[in-house]
Amino acid sequence: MSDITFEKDFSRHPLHYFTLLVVQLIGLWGIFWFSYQQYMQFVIVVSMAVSYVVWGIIHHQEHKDLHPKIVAEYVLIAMLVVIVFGSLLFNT
Amino acid sequence: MSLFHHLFLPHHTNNQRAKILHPSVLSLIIFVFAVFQISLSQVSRTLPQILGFASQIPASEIVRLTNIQRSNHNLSALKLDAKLSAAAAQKASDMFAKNYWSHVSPSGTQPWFFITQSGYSYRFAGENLARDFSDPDSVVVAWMNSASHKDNLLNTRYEDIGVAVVDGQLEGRETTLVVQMFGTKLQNIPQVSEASTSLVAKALEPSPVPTILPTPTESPSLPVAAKISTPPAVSSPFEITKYLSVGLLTIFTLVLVADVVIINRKKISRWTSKSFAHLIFVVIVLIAISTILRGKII
Repeated sequence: MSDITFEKDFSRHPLHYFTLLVVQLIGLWGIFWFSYQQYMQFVIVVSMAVSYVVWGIIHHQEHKDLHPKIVAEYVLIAMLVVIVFGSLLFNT
Repeated sequence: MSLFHHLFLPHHTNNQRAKILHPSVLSLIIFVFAVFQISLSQVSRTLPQILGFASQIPASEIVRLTNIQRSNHNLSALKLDAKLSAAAAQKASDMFAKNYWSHVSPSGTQPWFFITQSGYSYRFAGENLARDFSDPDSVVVAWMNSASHKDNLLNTRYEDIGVAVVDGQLEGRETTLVVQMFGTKLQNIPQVSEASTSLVAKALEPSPVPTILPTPTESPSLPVAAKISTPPAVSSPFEITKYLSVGLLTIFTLVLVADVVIINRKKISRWTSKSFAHLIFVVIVLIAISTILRGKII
């Protein structure tokens, strides 16, 4: 297990966080671009959520500290965000 | 206070990780949120008088705020005209019926068609549109912040105003449309001066720039804008969802910020997912949500 602090983690893998940021910003741009196309916006948010979970798995795999509980945390945060976003899009 | 620490901050009682970030609590929050949203949806369908979608934008308030802006710029107040209000309501109905969000319909119908159809013989006319705003102040402020819309609001050539606020489904989404129409009756300007003739050419540009056309007839008065507006329901499921969703994600954002700061400051080593990654994801989606909630004007 590689239980390092955030500071060390960030300085060791700045490219990881940069990649995550870029992917999410592309998603954000897509949501702006497809303004008022709610199905497309929902697909984009789901894609952002999937890429975020995949990022988490790859990141922790690189650290060799991947554990089902950690994957569950990424999946649950992703689910929460997708459900909240979907509710705003469709439950009106 | 210890419960607060336990729920929202890294603490020895929660294994140095805010309890709401634990999978068990996250699952519970997702379950409760989903059940609440499904219930909300069911109640709004079965009891629309309690949780129907409705705007909180009285048309009369739009007129009042417009006239306040004009007064602030030493301009005369616009008179509420029933025919212009009827034209605005017809334009809103047409947008819902043909599912478009534009000054010109997909079949090419111009706003001026609705004005002439209502029986308002105009010399000058203009149109401002807004959607998805939740209060009248935001609508007028948004128009005032846009040069072309502001031109309409503060145009010295206009004497009358008509406003319709109509709720409906547009592009698959419950929407509040605000249609604001301006005009000056044909008979109120006895002769066309050289100066106003030069305005005609400019007026032929696309909306919301005012246009000018002579029309032959007038028809009897129609109900005023206030009567055209849908009466508001007690509450809107969209409003409830909005506050709940933004509130929930804001709490998560604050908890994650606190987690990153405290864990980094105390140099605590943990074997968990990365809060900074969660923070990036949640904040970007919060920004995206703000685009959904933001009203639009054209």
